[in-house]
Amino acid sequence: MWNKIKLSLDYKVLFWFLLAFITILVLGYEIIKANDENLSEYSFRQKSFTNIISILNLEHYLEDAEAAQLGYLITGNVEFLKEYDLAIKDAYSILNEIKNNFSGKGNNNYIIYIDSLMKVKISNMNIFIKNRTEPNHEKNLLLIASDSNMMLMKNIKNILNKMNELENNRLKLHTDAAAYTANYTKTILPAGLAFALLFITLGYLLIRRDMIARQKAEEELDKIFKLSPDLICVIDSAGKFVRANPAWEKTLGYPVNELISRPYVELVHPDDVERSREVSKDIRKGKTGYLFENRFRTKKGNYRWLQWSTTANVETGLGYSIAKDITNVKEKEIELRKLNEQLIKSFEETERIFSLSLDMLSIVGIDGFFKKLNPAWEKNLGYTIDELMSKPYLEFVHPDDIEHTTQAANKLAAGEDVFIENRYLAKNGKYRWLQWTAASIPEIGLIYATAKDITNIKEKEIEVKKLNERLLNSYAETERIFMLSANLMSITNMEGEFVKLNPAWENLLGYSIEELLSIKYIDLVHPDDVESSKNASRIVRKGNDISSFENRFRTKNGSYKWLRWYATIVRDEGLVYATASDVTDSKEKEHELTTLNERLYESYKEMESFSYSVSHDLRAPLRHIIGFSQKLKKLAYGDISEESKKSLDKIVASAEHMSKLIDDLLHFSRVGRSDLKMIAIDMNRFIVAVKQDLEISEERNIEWQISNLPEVNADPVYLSLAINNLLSNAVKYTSKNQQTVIQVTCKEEEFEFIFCIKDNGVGFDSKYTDKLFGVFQRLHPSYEFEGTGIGLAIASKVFQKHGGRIWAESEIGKGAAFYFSLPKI
Amino acid sequence: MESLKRILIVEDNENDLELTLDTLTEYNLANNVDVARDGEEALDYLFKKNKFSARDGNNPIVILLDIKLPKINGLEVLKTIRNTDGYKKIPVVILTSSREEKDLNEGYTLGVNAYVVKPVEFNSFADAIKSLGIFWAIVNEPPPKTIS
Repeated sequence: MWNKIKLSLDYKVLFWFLLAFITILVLGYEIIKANDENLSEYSFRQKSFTNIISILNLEHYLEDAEAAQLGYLITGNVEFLKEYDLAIKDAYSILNEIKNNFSGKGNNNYIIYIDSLMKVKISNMNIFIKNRTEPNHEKNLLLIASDSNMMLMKNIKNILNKMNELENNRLKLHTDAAAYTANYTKTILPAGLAFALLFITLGYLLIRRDMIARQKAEEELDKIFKLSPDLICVIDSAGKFVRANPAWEKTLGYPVNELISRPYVELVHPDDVERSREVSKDIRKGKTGYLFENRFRTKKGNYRWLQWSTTANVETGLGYSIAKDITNVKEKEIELRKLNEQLIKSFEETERIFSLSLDMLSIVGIDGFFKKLNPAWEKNLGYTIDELMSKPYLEFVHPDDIEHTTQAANKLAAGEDVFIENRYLAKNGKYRWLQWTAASIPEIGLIYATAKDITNIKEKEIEVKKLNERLLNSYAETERIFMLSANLMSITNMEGEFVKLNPAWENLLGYSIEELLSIKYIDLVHPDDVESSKNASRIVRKGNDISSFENRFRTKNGSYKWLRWYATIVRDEGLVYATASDVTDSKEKEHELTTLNERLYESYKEMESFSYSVSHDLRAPLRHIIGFSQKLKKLAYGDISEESKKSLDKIVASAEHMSKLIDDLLHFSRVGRSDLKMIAIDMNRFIVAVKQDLEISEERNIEWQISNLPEVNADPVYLSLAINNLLSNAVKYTSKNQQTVIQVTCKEEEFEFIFCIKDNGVGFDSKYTDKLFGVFQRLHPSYEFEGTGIGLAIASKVFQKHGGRIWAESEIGKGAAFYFSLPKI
Repeated sequence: MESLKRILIVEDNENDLELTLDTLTEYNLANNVDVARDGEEALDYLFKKNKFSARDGNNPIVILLDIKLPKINGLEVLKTIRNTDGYKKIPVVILTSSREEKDLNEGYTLGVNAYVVKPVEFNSFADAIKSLGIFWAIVNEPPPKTIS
């Protein structure tokens, strides 16, 4: 029952000690009570003894009185009377004592009896004594000897005996009672003591058992303290170690004695110190249930993560802490966090791949609906993803493909992987071929499938199939073409031996096929072409195709034919496929062309030196003609007639005209030969500069209207030559005008600028426009307008060279407009 | 001494030479002129060889050089002058009929000081000769003398 009621040890011990206390208390009470009883019994016995003695004394005194009366009676000696009176007196005092002591229930009767009997006796004796003095005193003796007197004494004695007996009984009774009490005390004292001792012992045993248990527990604790792999320590209120277990040394490398009295903060990682202090403060304030982590420095200098469980005694200020080395856990945690991050990243990547994939990715439920689709679906089929998910996927499948698609779905449901192709209806009503790779996880009822749009491949495949069929069908045709081709066709092996030849060989070279198959191709090659042919062969054997390689093959009759070759190698077969066409005719033509070209180049060279010598030599005589004419005019001044002077002037003018002709011709030929040096030219400034170079008679009244002009890309030297010609023409052909207007404008087209130089001069007949730009072509007689007839030809050539052109519009008398175009930069 | 300021004209054409000298005479420059008839003579003159071995005096203050010359042409003469120490700094003016770009380019590449095209018109020709003569013989300071 005690086991059932779990009382604390304190209560149990208290219970037993209380029990012992109560026992002693009861025992004490009982002993005091017994003692009291004993005391009263004793007084009772004392009284009884007194009574018994009094009774005996009373009898004794009465007997003394009787004896003294008798003595007196017999002797008559009065001495006896004295004794008698003393005895009576004693008897009465004793009787009073007895009366006092012997009262009580039942006893009073005896006292009344004895009192009255004693009085009768005493009166009887007094009578006898008185009678002694009378004569006849002998009679008294008789009376004394009488029965009644005798009886009286006898009765007194009886009553006294009876009283004595009563008193004795009483004494015995009280003695018994005292004995009983003594006995009782004797019995309960040891028993009570024994019980009390027992209870105290029980209490002690309990305490002892507890003490042993405590000691054991303490030993166990100590063992645990020493053996614990966790770090255990006690820290005082100053934060110094008071106790530390050996785990500290094991974990951090500090021997315990090094730690004691040392502030723990010294070992804490600098980053954790502040928090550790806060936590420690909280704990000292009585906060519990803390699980706190920080880093402690090991003796070696690195750090371990510790997880602390700490409590503190608020009164003593001692902190009790257990720390677990969670460095590995922490590292694992970090690893786990990293892993987690990686997982998240890879999840994100997967998601990204899912949404970016060009393949159509899908998750399909066993209910036949799409559950998740990536954007590639929208792109490939044109539906929104919602549209695709709103219907069972089979509704999109081409009717002809439904059967094997369903079979595939069944396989997937059974956990098999599936690779199929089927057609899906796209939003635009056309079917797309999809190539599926799918796997399922039957436990979760999902199918993971990727689909690739292979429509193009499929179409190509179909095409290829068709092509293949066609190829097979046309093999015969090819054979026929091979047989009929006018071109030479050959298949040779790597050694250069013919393997297959078409009949064109026989026709062109005159050998029979059999003859050809027995030799190598090189045997037929012209000696001058052997080297280049071998080289070409090498190129082909390396895997490069050759096209338009040419060499000469000897015919049966000994002449040579030029052949142009196309050849390719099929490595797997080790064969070279070649066709050759007979280019003998074109080869001859080519030869003619080359000759012509060479001749042309020669004449070009001649032309160059011609123009060079014209430049140098043709002008010198003109200079001399002019020079000496002038000299003559000067020397013969006054000696020659006016007419002779005019003639001299004409000689000079003719020579000057010829010089101009030569210059223009040289310009013209140079335009054709030179390369242009293109630069960006601002036409506004350019026109003005060219205009300033013109020699214009001061009498002329010319209004120049030059609109805003663009920038062009041109050779400044030649452009200035051309524009100079155009402007000087405009000035020249307006020389008969009173008022001259020359306009320069420009129109921008998509790819070119079209410039226009327009005058209000004499103009020309537009039917001769074609002749305008030819060399030495003039539309006006030179007496009207002087000129060499080369200017416009030069201009035309300049613009041509710039990728532009020149044309003109005019009517006689209405001025002329010259247009030229220049490509945009 | 004034007489030391010589002009060398290298010209094979008698007519051109006469006209040139006429013009220089008109401006009192003809006395300072020496004439070489071809490239070889021009180099002989400069290097004092053969018929010019007895020539005394310094280098000319300017050489008027035609391009088309017998034996050694003007451009070759120019090249030799420019490659010879003691002569390379003599001012050389090419005076020629040719306006060919090729000649112009080569002349300037070889370091000619001026390139003048002989105008056909006599008055212009005379003006050109006059300006050249005055510029090179009177105005221009010759390069510092060098030991020949």
